[in-house]
Amino acid sequence: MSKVLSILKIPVVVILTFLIQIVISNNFELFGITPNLILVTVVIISMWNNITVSVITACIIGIAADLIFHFDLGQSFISYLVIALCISYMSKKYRKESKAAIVYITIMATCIFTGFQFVYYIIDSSLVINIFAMIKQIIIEVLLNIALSYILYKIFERSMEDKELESIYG
Amino acid sequence: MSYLKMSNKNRKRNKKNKFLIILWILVIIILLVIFSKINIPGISNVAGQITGSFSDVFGSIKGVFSNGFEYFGNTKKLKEENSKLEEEIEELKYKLLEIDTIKADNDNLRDKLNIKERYNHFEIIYADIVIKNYDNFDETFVVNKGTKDGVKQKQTVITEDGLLGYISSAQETTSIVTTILDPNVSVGVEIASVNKNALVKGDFSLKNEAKLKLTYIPIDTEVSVSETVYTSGIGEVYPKGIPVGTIEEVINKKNEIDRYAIVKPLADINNVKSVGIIVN
Repeated sequence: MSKVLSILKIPVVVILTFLIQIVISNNFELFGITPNLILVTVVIISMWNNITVSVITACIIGIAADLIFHFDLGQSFISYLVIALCISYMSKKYRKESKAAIVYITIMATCIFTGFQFVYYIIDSSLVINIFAMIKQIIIEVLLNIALSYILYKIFERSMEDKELESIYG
Repeated sequence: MSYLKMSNKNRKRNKKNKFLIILWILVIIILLVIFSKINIPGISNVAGQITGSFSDVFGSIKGVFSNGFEYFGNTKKLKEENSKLEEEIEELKYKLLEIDTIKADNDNLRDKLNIKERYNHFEIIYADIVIKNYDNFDETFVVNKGTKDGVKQKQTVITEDGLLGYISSAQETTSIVTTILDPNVSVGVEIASVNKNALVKGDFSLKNEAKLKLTYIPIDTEVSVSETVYTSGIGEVYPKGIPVGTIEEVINKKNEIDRYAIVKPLADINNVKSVGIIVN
């Protein structure tokens, strides 16, 4: 029973994340910037679970994000996969209980995500982007994502680590 | 001995005094009652007020007691009333929610009607915005109409106020609208007062303020603030004559070719809920 619950946990978290993200992006923005709950979910799951669980979750979230928001596969899928891999490889270098680690990793993940978007955008449109406007956007996005990840961390502090799921996926 | 005698005397005097005080109070009350009955101006008024206040005090004390007894007697009735009122409140809350929903629907329909009235020379499909894109590079959103409803790529999307964007991707039941704020989007426009063409494009540094850039303004053309620009019909996406925005600021450069203007779109792009897609 507990194994079934553990396996079901990821799809439930993904569905909830997407629903809340849609509500947030439809109704909230600060200086034209929307916080990225999907990215924060990938960060927190990758920090608290082993590489297999992190990569599977990131793949599911990335594919879902691409299909829902862009109608094509690629941009979000690659970004989230790279973020999950980076966090998993860095797992020995930080204490996951540390609040500072959450902040630093959120900053890193937001920069990776925005960097990928930037590259994709340049390839797609060959437009020259005002670098100052982009830095301003990244700073606001980072601050919003840090706030969001801190709130999520506080809410799910006890239930994030799933030994059962890790034992299933090795 | 003498001390005892003294104390007895004092007691007797005290009794006498008490009796006198009670007597005086009784006299005053009797007088007040009499004056309140007999109509003597001034005195009867004061007396009436005093007796009135006495009766008020006694009345209210009596009221408290009688109400209290009544309260304990009618607890069951009150409980019933309370549950009835709670039910009524729930019903009213539900009705209020229903009214809010109807109001939102009404606003939505009014928007659509306004689009229809304003652009009656186009064949328009109405759609609602279901998802706004969460990444902060693309200015896109998903609408609930697709190829099944006759939506195709590169069709113009409008609101009751003006141009919103175009269909950049269409699926069977949903489509992606790229708004004019997106830096990838350029719209050929006509500056109405001078009848000259220019180009409005999305700009990365202006998109968060929901503003556009008017470029390629012809040399020797006077452009003034608060002037409206309309689609010129040049290009394959946007039909002619749709209002795009008003000029908010003109930025002059050393070279006249480099000058540009900042345009505020007429459509409230960040708060739009329903749109019209020009299908023909």
